[in-house]
Amino acid sequence: MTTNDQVYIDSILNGDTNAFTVLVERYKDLVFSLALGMMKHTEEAEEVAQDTFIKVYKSLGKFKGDSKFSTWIYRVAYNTCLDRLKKNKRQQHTVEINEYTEHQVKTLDNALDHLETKEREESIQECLALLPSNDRFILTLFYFEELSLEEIAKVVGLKANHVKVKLFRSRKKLATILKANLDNEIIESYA
Amino acid sequence: MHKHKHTDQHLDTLAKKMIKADPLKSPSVDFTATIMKQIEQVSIGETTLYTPLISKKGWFGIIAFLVGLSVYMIFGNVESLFAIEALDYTVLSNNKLVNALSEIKFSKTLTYAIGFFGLVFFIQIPLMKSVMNKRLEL
Repeated sequence: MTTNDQVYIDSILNGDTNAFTVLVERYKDLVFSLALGMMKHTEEAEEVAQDTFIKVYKSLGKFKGDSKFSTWIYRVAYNTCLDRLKKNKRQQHTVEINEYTEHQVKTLDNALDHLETKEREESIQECLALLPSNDRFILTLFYFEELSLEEIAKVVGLKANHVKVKLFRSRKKLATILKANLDNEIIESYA
Repeated sequence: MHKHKHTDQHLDTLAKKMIKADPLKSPSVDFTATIMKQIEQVSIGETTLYTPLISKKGWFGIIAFLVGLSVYMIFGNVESLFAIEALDYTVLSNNKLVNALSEIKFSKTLTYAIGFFGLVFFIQIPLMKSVMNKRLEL
């Protein structure tokens, strides 16, 4: 992705409101997907994503360019999601953090691989939907956006080491969910 | 330990595979249009650019007035400035309302409590402001 964001930011600050369209188009899918991962609800995710862009627009003057514009947008999106979740006070279910052996993980991986394509996609969707908001958010940034630990740390306002620990736990949670989601029979047949 | 490392590697591969398998979702078609419509109503920096309550001109005016008054009081004829002697200023301290309120006595503890509350209140304002600002900074 080209990083000529600053060009558009400058022209917006100089009064060309329409230049913001380019930035919205560029980041809307990612912001929406991140919001959906956290909110687990399409309409809410859309509202949060819109809020995010409006906040970004309003405080565009505060963006100093010390970091990537995308990092800044993710941070605003993250905080907007947290605010909304706090307001909703919806109970997030907790997922156990279990220890796994190498063999167990391999078995899960094999079992997943041997599902039919459609079935596998559904299974993955279901598992990700069950993943708690925060875990989903940092896993997406790490694996999908391929941000570094330092960049994620900036987005969520934590130390890089803390992010690393969180990633460990999130992966284990995902394995726990996958194990529960796949039929025991399937898992046993690949053990 | 070595074994743990392998497990972590596999967990890493598994998580990566699952996250990557989940494609990006798109919001509704009129997403951008909705945002642009809302944005037309807010001007940029509306929330970030503050105009000070007292402008620079205002400050100069106030300073000039105070300096002028001081100079006048030191060198000028003060008597003529407060020439209206007929006004009875005692009405400020000697009226029914003030007399009624003078009966109320606050304990020392309460006075300190109120004073301390005020102090902490004014400490909180800049703190909250910096917290709110940080959420938009990197």
